[in-house]
Amino acid sequence: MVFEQRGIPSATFVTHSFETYARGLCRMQGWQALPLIVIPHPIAARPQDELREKVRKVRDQFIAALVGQA
Amino acid sequence: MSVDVSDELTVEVEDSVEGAIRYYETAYEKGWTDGLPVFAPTKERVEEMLRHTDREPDEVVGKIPPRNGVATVRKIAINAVMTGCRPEYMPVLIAAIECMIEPKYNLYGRQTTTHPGAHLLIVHGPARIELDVNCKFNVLGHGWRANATMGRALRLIMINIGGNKPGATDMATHGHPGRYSYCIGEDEEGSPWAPFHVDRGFARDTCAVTVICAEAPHNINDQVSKTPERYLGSAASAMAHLGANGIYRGGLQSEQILMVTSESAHWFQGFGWGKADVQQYIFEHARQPVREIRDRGGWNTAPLPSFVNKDDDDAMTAIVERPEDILVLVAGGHLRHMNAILTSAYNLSVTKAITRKNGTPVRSVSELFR
Repeated sequence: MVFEQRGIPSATFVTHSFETYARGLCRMQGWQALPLIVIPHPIAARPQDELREKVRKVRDQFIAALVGQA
Repeated sequence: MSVDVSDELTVEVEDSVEGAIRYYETAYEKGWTDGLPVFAPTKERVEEMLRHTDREPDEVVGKIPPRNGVATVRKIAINAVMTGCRPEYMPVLIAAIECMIEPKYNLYGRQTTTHPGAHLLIVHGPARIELDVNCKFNVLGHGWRANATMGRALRLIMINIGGNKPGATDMATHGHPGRYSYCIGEDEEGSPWAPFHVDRGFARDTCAVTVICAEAPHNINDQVSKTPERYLGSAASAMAHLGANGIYRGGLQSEQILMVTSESAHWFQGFGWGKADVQQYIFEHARQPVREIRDRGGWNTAPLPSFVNKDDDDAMTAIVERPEDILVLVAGGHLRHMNAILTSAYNLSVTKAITRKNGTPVRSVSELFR
């Protein structure tokens, strides 16, 4: 939200355990349209290969968010 | 009888014991409580509360994240009535909210984090005596109305004005019991040292408050050590364990608290140790070798202190950047115990005087009665 307020394109990653929370905070702050990229929980202390796979699956969403097409 | 929980929300409550019980049921169902019973904030009770501040009821004290709800003086009073505060507690609560909205307090982060921190309210100066704030035995426990209800009022303000809701906006995985109430006074009379607020530049007879977001207190019991070095070694170990946040984040500007009793403080003093000596010793000894913290805990999520080479496994890293970032408080019963009250390191304490609306500090909260 801070980046977007400053005109800097952003892509916000959350795991699904934080999705409701993140959408709630965006709503409270007036940023309902902030693009969220949701990846499966958990990400802490997981193998690199598993994390790469999770990120690979949302690569297109990530690019779309940064170029304003999310 | 009508009662307000905010400008928009008014409910009708029968003026009877049964009505009071039903109000609690209603408030709980609407999410206006911390789970414990609340009192109906009737217009009369709220008006009485408002007479104990010289601020206007609609004056904005601050916005409370994450909802950015507007904490007016009246809304603070409403929540204070709900938790059972006496009207004369109002000036403490207003000053506490003024502390919490300072950017360095990082209230948005503290309201929404997974960390368990609770808002520890510390009352300083004559207000402790006037309001009967417990500073001695069981200081962090039960038994005193001022401690129980003022700390609780801050929590209700976070809920009802700030939109705090566990699992929805507040992702604290565990929280801790201080989230119901966390309020103490410093044992200024029992201490051989200058009170905390005096260290921060306020006059001893000024009423002031400090707020810091802190974990649950952790008792340090050492009845045996014969020297300050050995005794504080027990404290240093408790403050720098491998599960603590600070040991991984010492390079942030952050603070950690050591609470000592008046007996312990006088015992230090008997060895010629002042507060600064205690701070220095903890700073130098609440440490871990880099090899122990590498690739665990909060490794690599925040900077280590500037004097630590993180590539050197033998380097000893500290829980704070400077000795003065160890906050030493004197409180509790006059026996020999200490308490580590640790923080996430992502928050800084704020101390403010209780003032008239023109900014003049008061020496008695009764100066604000009108």
